[in-house]
Amino acid sequence: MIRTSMQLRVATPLGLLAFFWLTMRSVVSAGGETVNHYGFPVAWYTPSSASSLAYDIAVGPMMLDVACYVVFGGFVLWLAHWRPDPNRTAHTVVSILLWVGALASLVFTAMVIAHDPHFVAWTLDGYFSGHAARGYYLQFGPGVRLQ
Amino acid sequence: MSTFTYKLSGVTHMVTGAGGVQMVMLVRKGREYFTDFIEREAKAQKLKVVVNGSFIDLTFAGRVAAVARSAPLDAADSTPTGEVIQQGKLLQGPSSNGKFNFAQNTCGVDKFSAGLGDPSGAACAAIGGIAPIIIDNVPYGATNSYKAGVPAGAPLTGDVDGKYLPFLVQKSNAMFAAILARGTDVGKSAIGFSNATQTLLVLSQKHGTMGMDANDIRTMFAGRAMSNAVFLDCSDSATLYYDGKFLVSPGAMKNEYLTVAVGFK
Repeated sequence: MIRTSMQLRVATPLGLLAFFWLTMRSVVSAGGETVNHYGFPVAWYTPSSASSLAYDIAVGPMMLDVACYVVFGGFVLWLAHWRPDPNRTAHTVVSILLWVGALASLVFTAMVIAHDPHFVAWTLDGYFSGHAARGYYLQFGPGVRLQ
Repeated sequence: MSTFTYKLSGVTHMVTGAGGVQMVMLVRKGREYFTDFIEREAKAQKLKVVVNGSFIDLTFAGRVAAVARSAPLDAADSTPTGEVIQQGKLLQGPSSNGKFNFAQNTCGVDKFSAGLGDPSGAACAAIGGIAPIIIDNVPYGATNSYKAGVPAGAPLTGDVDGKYLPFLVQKSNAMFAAILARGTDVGKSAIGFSNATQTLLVLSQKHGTMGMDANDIRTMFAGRAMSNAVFLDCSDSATLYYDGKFLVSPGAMKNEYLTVAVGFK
């Protein structure tokens, strides 16, 4: 039980780090109009065309994606045969660093997409039909212009 | 000499202009609040009406600064998402071919037009990267709409094949759909012009007030015989300066980084 708790303490921030930094960008286009959706396995946010720096954020898919990434984090730990030991300082330090990184990533992402958020429950964008062209790309970070 | 009249309809501010209205694009260059910039330029250029203009993109550093500090950003951190043209010169902004533009075609002639794609580089004043409401008398909305008798298979959104075009009464647009999805309390900025009555109409609704949704705004423009009408940057970017005072002010953060305004005199 202690090991499970420690695994969660490491798997959760590891999953969150991956959630914020390693995702998928779906480019949906039809009739000259294009939108980018972000999120894996389900897109959970997209820049909104309603206003400058506005984002539509789908809460349901966001929570689903977080859960998937945390499970994935635990799977990675299991694959690596990494058994967290609360008595080992190094393991505790790793856990703390991962949590600091995860919280910093949360703040970073919020600074990018939380200027004018519009929350929806599940459906991110009902405009483009199933006939729209879709492309999928690996995305690092929240996709913001650096300069 | 152009004349402007003001009316408040619920929470929607409406300014009509006629008799030789001239359009002026304003682009902030220095580090000052958007409202200070508008007030200064309006007085200097004797503008009766000024509204906010282009959608803006910020660098990451700009986004952090906007959140972390309460101070105007350097104009260089902001980039309009469409072209801004004044007297045939590109002032700022990249090409934005998939979006729409609104322009005064010839200086000194109060004829305004709108269309898909970038504005003409020779326009007297023009703004690109904006959303359609009515373009060349064709209303826009969240979906394509057709009159009775349209053949089966007509698309609900996107491009319309030739065989469905004669039946099309409303064209879909993703930007319009996004604004409509934000409901009645999202701030709105819109401008339009009627070829029939040679009248300019400026609509503005402050963000957070229960007003009209995008469909209602379109109805208002259509009801006043507007040939062309467009949405500018909405939500808390909405700004309206009229006759020396702000009737609608932008949100605090938007006031730090918005850089483009559209003036009329």
